[in-house]
Amino acid sequence: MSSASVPEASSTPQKRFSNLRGVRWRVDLGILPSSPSASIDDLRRVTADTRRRYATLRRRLLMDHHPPKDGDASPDLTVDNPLSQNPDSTWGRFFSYAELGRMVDQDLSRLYPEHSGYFHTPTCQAMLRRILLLWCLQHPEHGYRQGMHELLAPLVYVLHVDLDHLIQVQKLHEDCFNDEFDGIILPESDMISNYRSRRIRNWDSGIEIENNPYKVSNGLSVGELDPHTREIFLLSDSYGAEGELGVILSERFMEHDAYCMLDYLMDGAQGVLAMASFFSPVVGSSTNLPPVIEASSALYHLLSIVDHSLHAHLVELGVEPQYFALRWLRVLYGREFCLDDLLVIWDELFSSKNSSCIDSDAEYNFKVLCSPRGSFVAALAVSMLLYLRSSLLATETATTCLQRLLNFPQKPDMKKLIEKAKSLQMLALESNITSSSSQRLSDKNKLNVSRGYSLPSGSAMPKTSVSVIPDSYWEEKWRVLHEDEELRKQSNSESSSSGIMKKILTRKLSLSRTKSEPLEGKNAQSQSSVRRRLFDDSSKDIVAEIDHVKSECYVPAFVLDNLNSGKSFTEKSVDQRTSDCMVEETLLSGNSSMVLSPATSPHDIGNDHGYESEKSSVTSNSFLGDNDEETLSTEDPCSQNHQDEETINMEEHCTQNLDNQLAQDVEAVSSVVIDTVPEQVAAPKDRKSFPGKFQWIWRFGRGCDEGNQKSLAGYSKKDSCNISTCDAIYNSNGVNKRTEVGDKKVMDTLRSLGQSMLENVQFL
Amino acid sequence: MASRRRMLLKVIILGDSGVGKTSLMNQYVNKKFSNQYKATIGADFLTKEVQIDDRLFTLQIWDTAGQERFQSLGVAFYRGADCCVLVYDVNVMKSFDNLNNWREEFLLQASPSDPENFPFIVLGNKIDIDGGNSRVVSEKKAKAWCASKGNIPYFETSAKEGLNVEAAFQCIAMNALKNEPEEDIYLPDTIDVAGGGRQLQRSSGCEC
Repeated sequence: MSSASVPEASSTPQKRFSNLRGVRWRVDLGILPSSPSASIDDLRRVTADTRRRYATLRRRLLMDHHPPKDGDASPDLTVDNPLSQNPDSTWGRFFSYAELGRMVDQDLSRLYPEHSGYFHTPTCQAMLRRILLLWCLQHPEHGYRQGMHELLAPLVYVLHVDLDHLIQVQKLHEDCFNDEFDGIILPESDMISNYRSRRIRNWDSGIEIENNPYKVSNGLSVGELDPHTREIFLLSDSYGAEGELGVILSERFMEHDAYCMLDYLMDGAQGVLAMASFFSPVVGSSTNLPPVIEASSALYHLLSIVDHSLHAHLVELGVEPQYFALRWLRVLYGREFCLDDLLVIWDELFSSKNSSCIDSDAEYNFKVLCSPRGSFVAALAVSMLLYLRSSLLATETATTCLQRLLNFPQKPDMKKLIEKAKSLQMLALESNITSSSSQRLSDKNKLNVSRGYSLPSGSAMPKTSVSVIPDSYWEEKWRVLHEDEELRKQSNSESSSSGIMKKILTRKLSLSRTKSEPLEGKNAQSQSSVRRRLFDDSSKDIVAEIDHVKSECYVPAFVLDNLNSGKSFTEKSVDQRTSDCMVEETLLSGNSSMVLSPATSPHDIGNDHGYESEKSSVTSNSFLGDNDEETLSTEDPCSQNHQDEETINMEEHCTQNLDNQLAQDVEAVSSVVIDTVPEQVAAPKDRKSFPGKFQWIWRFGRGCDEGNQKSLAGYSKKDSCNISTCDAIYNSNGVNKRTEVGDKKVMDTLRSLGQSMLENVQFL
Repeated sequence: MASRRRMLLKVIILGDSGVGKTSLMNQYVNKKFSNQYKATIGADFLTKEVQIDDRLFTLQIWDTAGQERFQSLGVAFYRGADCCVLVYDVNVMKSFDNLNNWREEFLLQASPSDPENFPFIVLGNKIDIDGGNSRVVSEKKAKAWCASKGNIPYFETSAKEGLNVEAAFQCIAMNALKNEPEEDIYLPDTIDVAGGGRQLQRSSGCEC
């Protein structure tokens, strides 16, 4: 109906109905016209139509599924009797309806227990029940599947919030919203606006007379209102087109509107992402898989492009995407986020267009990635995986990995997650097509990108408030790093700049280094902005990762504080802009002492660590804003040579610290390790997460050194069960051997420590 | 060194929606009951350390959605299962009638090497409701069905009251272990020396 509406103007500074999520979603889902030129009356007519359709449907279906009354019994009693096995008989329909009702009730009674104050009221439950039943009766090919109720709930909720908002505004501007001042209530609205009259009970004739003047001032005051209030006024006015039936913000028609939203969400409004298909076992078109499984594969496909090592890790562990993605996708992340965060995600999701970017004859890999909205679904999943990256890389079994995936952290950094997802969205779209049809896509995409309301017009790259890195930042660094005149010259031309970006990307994102990189398309130019954005994002991620590690050191440092002056030690290290190796050392030494201090319960340490690191990853984001540039300049690859020195120095520094401050602890580690078995077992266990991080940091620091990267990658794949602190340190020393700086003292100290621990591991 | 890895026993819980699969799992693992469990979407799992004959195992218990009819999670999900728990609600006849479907579909998907002897366990849940007055499936009937399917062990449980849950899962673990090939089991005796520290360090969720 309205899905073929005019594309929205990209210059709109703020989207229409910005304060009314329910209305905005109705526009985004394709129910209401999205054209900014559509008048309120246009919206009202469409609204009224959808409500009429629902009312008709409701009347028809509910009557169909009630047992026949005595008077109008079917003439053929052999078919129509309560014992009939014929599913098409009136009674058969009635019983299947009753069964359907039981299923729906069972799930609705378990819907959002944390919001039972709203969702578990009899009114709300009855409304949700009717909507779901009617949708299922209308779509017998799908029926009711668990999870559909959780797709509906947020829709109802946003309509409810809009109405609450309306009431607030009405209270503030009572004058404008009083529409029964003239005493002549239209017959039409009289019949159907009982909720309105209920709300304004305190009216009596005396006031009505007094209110007459408002009729005159009404037009004026509405004009004087701020645009937002004016908008709300217009949306709740009973006197526009279609009268009461066209009131867009209407409590009375909330059920109708919610049904319509559910219908459009499930059906996708002829678009790509049709949620109903995610519940269906019917195999899809492009692959011989059910759509939800295909979409799960799509997100792994995207992950493999963005973060090859994480993808490889998950595949190696045997973590199939559907084990966690089934839930993520079916309820559109409703189980992974609290309702408030979920609404923000759905804002982004719905604001992406759902129509296919790919010509019907073009080849594509995954259906879900054909539209910006479907791509966003996959991109968000990848963003979530990347959010858990270090935690996931640290896992060694499918069990622990899935545990983390199925328990996404509470209160994540939504901004980071969504920004990342948005940056991956275009890549998802592009990665989906074969090169022959890519040009056509990129043309279409330009239109789609520019219409995203969060992007200022003309800006190809969304800048995040978290950290703004100039587009050319890494390009600059790359040049400095290589001091290559040729490259510098070429970088002025578009094509080679994208080539550089690609190289950097390949390196930074751990893409496979083979020449047959899947991303490499002929339309590099059109892709460069995406890459740039992606890359920009990835650099942020790297910073975040570093900060994450840095901030992590506070945790053990805090523990250390009880033992010695560990805190000042950590602070000093940060002040001196020490590399992460240093911080990592701190962490390690911190952990050694942690192992020692509460030696009675090594199990708790493991858990605490996991918890703390999650916490610190949240903290790390606050670091981002302030220390961004600083961190970058410290950690930049261009300072590679210095950094190697620095690293050694850090190690020395650290070892000195170890000697000075933690000597006893270190000794104790060795001795305790020899003496008691449980601690020894616990110690390497606590180390487990570090190899992954070391790898990450090293790759970052010495990203251009292919050999190292390879050895590190190999290292990370090793069964790290036996890897203790010392192994890690050894490795770092090995990496640094080529630098002239070598501190024998450091080496010896670390080596002896490492050997003693290794011996004990072997002894065990 | 590598074989120090603790053995994993994979258990899959199946049954109609609302029979209490999630509650049983949570009662067993976390020793608590809540009325607030949401409907399971897809699958979820919990792990628990169990001790059988002085050896420790990780029980990986997969709770599946009652509507999940196997297509979605893929055969890999069911392959490698060591035991399948079939749950029904003693107050709902249909949930009992469906046990046969669940069993057959599982055998079809998991395709165990010896389907005749694959360990199943049947749990009749919610025996607490209405003091047992609302139950529609008698113990005798349930036991008869279990006997007809190769003497499947049967337990009547209440996840709410915690009745019989521990015993049922102990049986599940035992049967899962029987299904596991013996040669995988290797635990160095140094572990036992550790005594009290063992239990704790082993439940940290790490596998090394």
